Amino acid sequence: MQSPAKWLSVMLLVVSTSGYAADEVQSKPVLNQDVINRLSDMGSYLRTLKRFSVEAQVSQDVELDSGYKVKTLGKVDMTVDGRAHLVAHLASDRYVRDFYYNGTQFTQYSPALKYYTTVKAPDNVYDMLHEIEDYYGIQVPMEDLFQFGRNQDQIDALTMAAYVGPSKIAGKVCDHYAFSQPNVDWQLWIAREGNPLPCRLVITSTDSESKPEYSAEYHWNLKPAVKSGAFTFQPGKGDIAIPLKKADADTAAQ
Amino acid sequence: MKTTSIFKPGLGVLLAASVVLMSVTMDAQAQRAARASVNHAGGGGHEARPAAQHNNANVQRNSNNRNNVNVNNSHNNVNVNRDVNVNVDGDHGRYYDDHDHYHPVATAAAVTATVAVTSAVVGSIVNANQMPSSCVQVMRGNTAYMQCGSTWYQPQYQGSNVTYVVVNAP
Repeated sequence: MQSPAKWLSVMLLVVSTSGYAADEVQSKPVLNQDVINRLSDMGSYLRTLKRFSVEAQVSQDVELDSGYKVKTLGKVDMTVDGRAHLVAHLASDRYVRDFYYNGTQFTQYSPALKYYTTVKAPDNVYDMLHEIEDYYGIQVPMEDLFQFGRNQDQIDALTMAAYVGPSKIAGKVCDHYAFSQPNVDWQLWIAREGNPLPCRLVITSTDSESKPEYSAEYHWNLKPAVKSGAFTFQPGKGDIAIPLKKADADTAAQ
Repeated sequence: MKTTSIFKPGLGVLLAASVVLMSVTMDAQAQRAARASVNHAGGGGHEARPAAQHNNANVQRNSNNRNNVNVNNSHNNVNVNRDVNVNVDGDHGRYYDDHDHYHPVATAAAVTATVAVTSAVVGSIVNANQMPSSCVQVMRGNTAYMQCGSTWYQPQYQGSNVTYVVVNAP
């Protein structure tokens, strides 16, 4: 646990650096190793969790071709059991999806349309997330929670890692950090007391003129009730299997 | 040859990008969602997303064609099912997940889409909001189709979005 005094000094360093930067044309990027360590520690801690449930209030900007940003709101909840079981439920203003993963199969389901699709999946959640995204273009909500600080390439890509200050989220003090990497600025809040759980995440896509944002506030349950069978999709009456098209569709040539 | 179509495969392609919270619900509006992840395979951000970027650029170009019903000119030689004359200005909410038929932002685009649909190219991919209004779901074996007049569509997931491929009548 870092002492508050230390964080205060780090914070002052950030402030003084930015003050200095104001006089310069090019500011020197901040790469605070303590902040990077804190990110890695949080990621490592999350990967030690055998079983957890997390709920997130999410907002996401969608950019129209006119440049207008529409903010969509939603809620995600996810339960993970071990390394090979995951179930997630996404309910946004505009659509609902359920995701099931049981260590061998991945299913995506739309309760409203009653369409589901099931594909073979790798035997652990990390590889599953990669494959589902790379091969099928499906982004399982909150995949970041499995990945923070796991990959040295990701750390190396950071061009800024700075401490901003304490922040109170849902009644708890969380430390606020700011990161930059190519095409993305992101901010992360990590609980100061107790387990280093993420409190909030904001991602700004900087490669787009209107800089759309994604934001998630997390609520954790480290002792969730888990039903066996909850991770395997069972089609109900009227549910219909439809194909899942591989990403990079042949229509890309259009 | 009188072949007009409101179907724009280019827009369908955009849907392959990872859209986490929102499917396309606003008619004929190209969209791009904010990134929802900072970590990705290979690290360093989003090298694995060039397809989405590319598609977006593609759609931006296509956006000039949004009010032009002749966007499928290159496919006229394979047009089938001409002169279906489906009035598109119908119940646009039908195939949306949310069953919410109130789409104020869609109004302008919907007005431009009141032209008669006279062709649907086999193999072209459309979104729910580009579907005709008078469709019924038909099962053939274990396969689901949407039959809209004499045009048949097969639903599929592209990423997390459901799109519809024009197919020959089963």
